[in-house]
Amino acid sequence: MELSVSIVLFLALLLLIGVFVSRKIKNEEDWFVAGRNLGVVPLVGTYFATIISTVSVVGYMGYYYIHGWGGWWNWAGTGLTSFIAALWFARRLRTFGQITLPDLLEARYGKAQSILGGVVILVAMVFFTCAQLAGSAAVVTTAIPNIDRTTAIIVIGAIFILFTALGGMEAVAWTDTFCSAVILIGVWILMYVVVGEAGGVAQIHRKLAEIKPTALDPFAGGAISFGVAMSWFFTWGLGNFGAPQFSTRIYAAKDPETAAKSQAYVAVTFIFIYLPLMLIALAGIILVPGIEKADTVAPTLIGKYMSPWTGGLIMAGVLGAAISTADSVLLLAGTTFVRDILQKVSSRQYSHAALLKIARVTTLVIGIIAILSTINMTTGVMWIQANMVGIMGSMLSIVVLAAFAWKRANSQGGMAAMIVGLLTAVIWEYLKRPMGWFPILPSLLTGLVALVVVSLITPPPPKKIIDQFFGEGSVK
Amino acid sequence: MEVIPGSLLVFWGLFAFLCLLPVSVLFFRKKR
Repeated sequence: MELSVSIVLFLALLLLIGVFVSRKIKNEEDWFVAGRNLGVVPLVGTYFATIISTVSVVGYMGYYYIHGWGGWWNWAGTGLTSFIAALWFARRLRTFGQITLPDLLEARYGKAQSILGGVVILVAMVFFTCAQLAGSAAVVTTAIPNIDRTTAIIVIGAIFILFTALGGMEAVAWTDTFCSAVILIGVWILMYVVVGEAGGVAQIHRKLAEIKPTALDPFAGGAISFGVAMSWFFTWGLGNFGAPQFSTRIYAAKDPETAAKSQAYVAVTFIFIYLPLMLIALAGIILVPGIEKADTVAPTLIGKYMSPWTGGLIMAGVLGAAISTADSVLLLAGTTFVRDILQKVSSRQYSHAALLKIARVTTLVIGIIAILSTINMTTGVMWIQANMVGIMGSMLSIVVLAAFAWKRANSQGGMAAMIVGLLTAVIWEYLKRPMGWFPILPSLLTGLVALVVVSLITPPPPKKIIDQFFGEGSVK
Repeated sequence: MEVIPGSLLVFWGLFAFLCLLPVSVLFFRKKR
């Protein structure tokens, strides 16, 4: 009962924030990038909430339970992303100042590259929305057993589609910030109780040294190989730059300095979620040893040590993690369709009001498609869902980074890197990930080789492009 | 904490570095 009430209250609050914020939206730029007016708080909040999905809370807690401290490799790359973004990338991308990642591809490499990027992003984002929707439905049906999966998908889907379509980036940023707060409060309460139960941080480590010393080894006593650790590190560290749901948040910052600053704060906020998740998992090893299914670690601990109300708060946090990732990718699907496909393919001039309307309707339609395909999930759809985001990152990360990093990178090299990166990822997945590497790792290598070789055997980019990206007005 | 191995301390250092360096760099850049 308490669980149902907390979850319904939470969803109602989200909708309220979304509707309240949407009154400010006047034109398509307000909707796409929140009028480029976001300060540090909503930027950090939305970035954090978009990165932290249900997988991070439930899945990672289980992963840490099994591997101990070595499990932390899984967010090392996320830290590397904000590290590079704060010190180098964010200021440059915000100074460039368009709306989408394909805008960057068009200006730096050409229109064909931009449309190819747009199409792959759109497909990836639709499927990614489905994955998050399926995750949220799983949370709700666990918390409220007498609701069926289809109803849960429709209700949750309707709520976030509605506030995303109405309020665009501004609504997404503020609801995400609210979700971040709920996730953090929930996880910290759980940590406080569970770590206390296990006798405190020092006691936990003393005990682990006795009963499970591999939990204190950075490579989990060999369970995490050096290759896998580096896979985590570089896959996400560089791959996130090809994931537009992260990089485009930088466009919404009110200026380049705010963009860089918010990325630096994001790096710090990660400690506030991954440290408690780790301590909860380590305490779990001592309190409830022998859990074999990783995903059940979080529900087991919550069920055993939380009161119904605090349990409800944590469930709301987990649901918030899913919704805040889903709204961001759905927003991006709408933005990509209008901005990168419709506007680039069609020669018609649209008014601001018309564009806003098209963006909202597209978001609704994509959202409804996502709801329907989540309800009728087949194994084929699940395969695409699981792999599409990685494939998109494999195609885009090298060209996005090279846009600002390497003057000589040109249109032909960009196209070659995108196609080779995409094909490598698809083939690698098809071969069932040789050596356990994520597909993005070989893609980064082959994409980089393709970029360098093809760029060098074809003419350098025109002076106009070099001036725009490396000349007077650009960030040095 | 006598039970913490040196390798784990190095590992923690990596995360502290990743998390805290950007903030400190931006902080000092502003001061200048």
